[in-house]
Amino acid sequence: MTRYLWRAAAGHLRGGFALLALSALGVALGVGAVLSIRLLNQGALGAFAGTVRAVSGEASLEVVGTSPSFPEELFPAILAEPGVTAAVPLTRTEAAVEGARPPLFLEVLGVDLFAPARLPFEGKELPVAAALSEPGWVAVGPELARERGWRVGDRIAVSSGSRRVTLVVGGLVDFRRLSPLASRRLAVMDIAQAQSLFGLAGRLHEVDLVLEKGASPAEVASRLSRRLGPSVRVLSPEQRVSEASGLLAAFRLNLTALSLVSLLVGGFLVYGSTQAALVRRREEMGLLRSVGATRAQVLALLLLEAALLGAAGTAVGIPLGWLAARLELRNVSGTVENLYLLEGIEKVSLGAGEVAVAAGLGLLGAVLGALLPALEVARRDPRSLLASLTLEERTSRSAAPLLGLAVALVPAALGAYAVLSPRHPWAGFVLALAATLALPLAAPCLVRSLSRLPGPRRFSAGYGARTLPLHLTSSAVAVGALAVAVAMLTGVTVMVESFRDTVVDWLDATIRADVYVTTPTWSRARGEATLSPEVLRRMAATSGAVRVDVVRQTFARVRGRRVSVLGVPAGAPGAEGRVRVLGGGAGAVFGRLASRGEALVSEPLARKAGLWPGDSVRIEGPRGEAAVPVAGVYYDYGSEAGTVMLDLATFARIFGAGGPSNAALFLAPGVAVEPAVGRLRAELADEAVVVRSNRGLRAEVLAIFEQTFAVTRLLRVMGLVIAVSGVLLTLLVAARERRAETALYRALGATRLQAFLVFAGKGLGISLLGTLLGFAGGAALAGILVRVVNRDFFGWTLELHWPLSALALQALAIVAAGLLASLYPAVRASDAPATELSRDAL
Amino acid sequence: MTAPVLAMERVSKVYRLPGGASYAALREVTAVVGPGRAVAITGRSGSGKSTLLHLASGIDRPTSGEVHLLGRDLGALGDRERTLLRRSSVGLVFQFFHLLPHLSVLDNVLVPSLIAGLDPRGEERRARALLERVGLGPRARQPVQELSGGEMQRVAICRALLREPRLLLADEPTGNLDEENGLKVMELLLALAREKGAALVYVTHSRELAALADESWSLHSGVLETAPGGRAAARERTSR
Amino acid sequence: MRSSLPLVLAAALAGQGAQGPSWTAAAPGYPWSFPRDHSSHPGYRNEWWYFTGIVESEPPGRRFAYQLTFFRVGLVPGTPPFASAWAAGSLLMAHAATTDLESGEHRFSEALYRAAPLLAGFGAPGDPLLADCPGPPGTGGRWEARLEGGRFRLSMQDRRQGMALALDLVADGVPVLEGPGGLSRKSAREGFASLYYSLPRLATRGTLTVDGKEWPVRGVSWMDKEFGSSQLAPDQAGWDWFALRLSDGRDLMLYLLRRRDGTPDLQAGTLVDRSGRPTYLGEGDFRVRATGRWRSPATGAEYPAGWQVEVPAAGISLRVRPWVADQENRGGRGPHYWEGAVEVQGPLGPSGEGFVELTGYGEGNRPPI
Repeated sequence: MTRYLWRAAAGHLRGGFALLALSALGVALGVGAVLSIRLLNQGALGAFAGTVRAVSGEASLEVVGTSPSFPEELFPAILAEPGVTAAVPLTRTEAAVEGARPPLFLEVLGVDLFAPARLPFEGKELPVAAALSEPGWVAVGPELARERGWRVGDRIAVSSGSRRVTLVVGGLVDFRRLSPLASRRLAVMDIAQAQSLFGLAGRLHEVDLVLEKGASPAEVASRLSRRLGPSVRVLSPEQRVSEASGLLAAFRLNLTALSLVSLLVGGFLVYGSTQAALVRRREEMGLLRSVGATRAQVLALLLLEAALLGAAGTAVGIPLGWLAARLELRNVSGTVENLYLLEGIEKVSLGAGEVAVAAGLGLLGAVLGALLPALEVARRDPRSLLASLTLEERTSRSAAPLLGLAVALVPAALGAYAVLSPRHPWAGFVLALAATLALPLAAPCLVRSLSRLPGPRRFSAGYGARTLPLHLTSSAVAVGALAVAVAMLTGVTVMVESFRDTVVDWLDATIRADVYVTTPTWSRARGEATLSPEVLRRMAATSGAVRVDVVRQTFARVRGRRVSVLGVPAGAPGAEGRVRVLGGGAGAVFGRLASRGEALVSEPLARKAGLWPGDSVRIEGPRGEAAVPVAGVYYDYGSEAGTVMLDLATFARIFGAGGPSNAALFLAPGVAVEPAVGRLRAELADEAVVVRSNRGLRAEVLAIFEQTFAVTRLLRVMGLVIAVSGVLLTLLVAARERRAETALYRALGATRLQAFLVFAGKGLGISLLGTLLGFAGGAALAGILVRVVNRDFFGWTLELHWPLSALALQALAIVAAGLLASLYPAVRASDAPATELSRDAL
Repeated sequence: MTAPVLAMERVSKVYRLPGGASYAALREVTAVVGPGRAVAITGRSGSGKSTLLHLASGIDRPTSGEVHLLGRDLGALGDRERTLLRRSSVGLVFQFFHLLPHLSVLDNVLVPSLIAGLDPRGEERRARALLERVGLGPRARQPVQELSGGEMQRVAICRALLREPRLLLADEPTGNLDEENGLKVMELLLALAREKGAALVYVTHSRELAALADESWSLHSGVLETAPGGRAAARERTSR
Repeated sequence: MRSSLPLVLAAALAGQGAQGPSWTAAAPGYPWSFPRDHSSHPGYRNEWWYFTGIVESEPPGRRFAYQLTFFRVGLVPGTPPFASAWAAGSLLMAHAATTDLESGEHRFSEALYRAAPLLAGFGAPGDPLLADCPGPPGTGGRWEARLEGGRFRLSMQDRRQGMALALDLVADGVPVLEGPGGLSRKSAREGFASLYYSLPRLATRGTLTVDGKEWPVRGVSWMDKEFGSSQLAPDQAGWDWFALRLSDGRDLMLYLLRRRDGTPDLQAGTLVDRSGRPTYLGEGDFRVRATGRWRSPATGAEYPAGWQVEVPAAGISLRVRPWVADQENRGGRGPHYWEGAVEVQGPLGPSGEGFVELTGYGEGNRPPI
């Protein structure tokens, strides 16, 4: 049988190259979508994990600061702890390289160069004297040095907070030798220099511990935790990575869900094309069976063919996925950095494991997709295979039960959601999946309903569309695939637009001051990047200034989550305008921040941690846990992990004194904003600060937003390409399958144009039905994504906005694309000469 | 003598085979079919019978020579004009009936008018009359798949006659039927052609059926020999 | 992690070049003054306090040898001017060893830290603290050498090795300057020298913990103190050093420097008579001949083991024999060397006991000073 496969293969290739190529493309796109997302997902975590591995690779435990630094006086106690064989103290500073476009942050590790740290310096001898005593001495990564053209001896101007620092490149340190995914931005300097230059005297961020053989990390960790108190946490590197992966979980799952939809559409295409190809080849199978091939042999033959097709598709899909991942790298990396404040992704690497997963998916998808139709054919006896049209009849008969199944999915999914949602935030995806699955199930009935339309008056496009039910299987598959893609497209478009509109409204309501001043490193370092008092003084003194509000920010843990904590001047006039509170009444609620020292929690935190007015939010600060009553919940779209807002006094009580992260300037009425921004920039020229107008800040927030959702663009395009290929595939199959029929029409006097139009009509019919069904599904999906998934999963309440003109344009584009995809098959079909009308049956 | 319905002059059809060889399906065929005449073509498989029908209907074009259909030189017409001429003037009947399985009996008969862009409802009366004529009137709304072979071919004959063609071409119309049914269908075809005044050219393997024609042509390796058919002889016998 | 530290250390030490411009060179005419000179001399690049001794438990009379050494390794002169408690110009390296002379068990422990307030440091003159640092990570306790009320107080502990020292050494007698004016030349070439003095006989008592068992002990220790900015010349590989207390009350210190090719380079020594008067021995004044070899199974280094020592003019002819063959100090963070108690037999004269130090044996093991 295998021999038969090879002999017949050449014939199949010649006979239906375009068809095979398209089926393979379906596999390729599905595999590509999944692979690219997997690579990006992995990269998103890999960058963080790689850096942890490179810096703390040998460490069994890490002592990290709660806030996020801790007093260095704890170090000798850490060093003396039984079980510890090496302790490496570290400071970490995100230093913004001045003038770098796009922004570049060095991750400067201040390390005790004489602690037993594994520092992969390049070159034979480290110039220790220079490292210890030459101010600003730093070793940078060779890749970054090459990129920026830095040589030993070069000076680099950087900033941390509003503090400016000049570093001197003294050597190269290549952490990628230790862990290939480590950040190329890692730089090393002696800890004394780092503390001194970045204003960290007396503070450490981390101590990496190597333990004795046989020492239990858990025991040492718990002893150390007890001994050292609340200003530090003692974690294993795995715990740190898993905390990061917890942070990213929602983001990653979201991407995965989107990529799985692509796979679903791809697998569906395989199913459809196999089904269609088998309709075409049933006589061949009948013949094989009648000359003695067993059912198992026929099944094996078909599945082997499918596997080969899958292999071909995978071979194309893997480079495709890799390419797509590379194209989307910057956007995903930006999201990881901006939204999750983790290492950005610098590269994706295609490991053997990923290739194996992709190949497995491609092959398995192709075989699974082919399984049902192949079983169907294998089950039949040779006589019924040789008889015409039996396969089609079956689908036609199963159309109604399939629709019933689609309808039954609704209560089933709702039931599952009701059961799952209290415990699993991803339960909303069940609804989304059901909505998506219902579409292909409803497709056969929808296509069949065409035959109930009144008979066409002319032998043209309308006739073609009306005869779609004649090849119900393939047309329903195409309609279903297109509908899934359109639904996905519509759902995601509506969600993104709704999100954007919500964010715009939120920005309008909450960005009130005229000028915002922060530091280049604020977005990455938060509480560690502070404005000097001098900056605040000059802001207050600038002409037209009415008031300067400052905000302090840091990270703290709340119920095991790393959340952002904000200290605001809650008592300042009009301060309540800063937030919109769930249930309204910002004024009263906000007043309690200042008067009673209570807290506001952001909606995501409230939903995920279950913190509502009346509860207490327990903030793990450097002085221990502080329980702050929750005054209210406010809308916030800036942090997925959540934010706690406190009055500055409460903030200082928990976290101690410190500088503000950013400051807002209110101008007197009538003072022009942009000139004031210009003046302030000039006045603060010697400080490392970023001065933005109200408008500038909004633009920036929206740019970050765009970047976050950019990755969905890729998926949308991929889904569309898959769906349009589906249309093309179906029609090509139909063109071939209906060759005799077309020849008959031609013989009976149909012109070539008529034959073409009949086929184009089929394409149009599929596109229209698919789009129609897709939009119905898309509306449902949009509702689910906006109302359920975003609320449950991210904790965001979004307003549903329908971007009607964009959707109309999309619909037009899809129908046009579908029509375009039908042109070639239609030409092929109209080429069928009447002489083809052999003695075959129709 | 009135103008012939079909006239072929020195018509040859050569197929190029892969590898540069060529194969002549028809060689220098010259023949004329007068209005209302019934012609039977016999010959072995591969002798060029079907090719001849394809050329006659304008489905295919000769390698050399001229084919005149109703006085128009098919060689001078483009695909579209040939198609339109075929649509209005030629009816085709096939060995395997070639009915559209998804349509009812009536709708199958109506396909040519649909293709011609005529409102099928306007044609329905004539289609029903034809079906009555072949004895399938009560079954007009049935799916064709429920018919027997002989019935199917009658539907196909109705379809071929719907547009009242001047020339009816039938490629082994009884080839897929048993002897008894074959004879009935053939007689019906001849009778209907005569009733509608259409010339009929049909291909058959059966000497008996060939004998029913006005003239009988035989093809041997693409070369045509003509002879008065059995029916002409019979007619002569009866007229005597 | 560990693997790269010796590299950093070696770089730190060797990479500076022999003539750091602002280190003070050991030169003749140094104005000695005690107890001031027991404290550190940060102007010189390297400095060490070396305590070795042989003690005996108060009954039942078990004998042990011990070593406790603090090294100051200068990296840059002075302390870099950074607003950080970690700012440091030097490192502190400390070595401790105990040998049970009955069982032959030798234990070694080491610590290395930057000299910064949170970790390690050296006291200024007037400060009773001479040197201190935390013990090896995870072992707890601090290692210290103090000078209080005319006594050196030494302490160290390493729980992991089951060893600890807490000893008082009575610092009586005048320090012996090891070389004319205390200048000890290490090479025929100019500039390779150190300032060097010893206290050869310090009455010692306290406790010593070996294998987790604490012993009250008493005995005699030898204190060596050396500081300088460049000791070993580039072509020298290491040295053999002898500190022997003879039964007739004389003390003999000898050192022999070897070239990288193994041939002897410079040798010198000091013979101190019972009244504490030194006689400086030069090239032709004594002979040392190795009578045996010992190969370390752990490092593969081959050391001399057993010597014939002759100082003809002083009537000294000694057979020197390691008490225990394996007294090699092997740490992860520096070169390995042999430092151990020896027995001295003088069939034709006085016998005695002492310590021998053998450095620069084995591949790539040159002391970076």
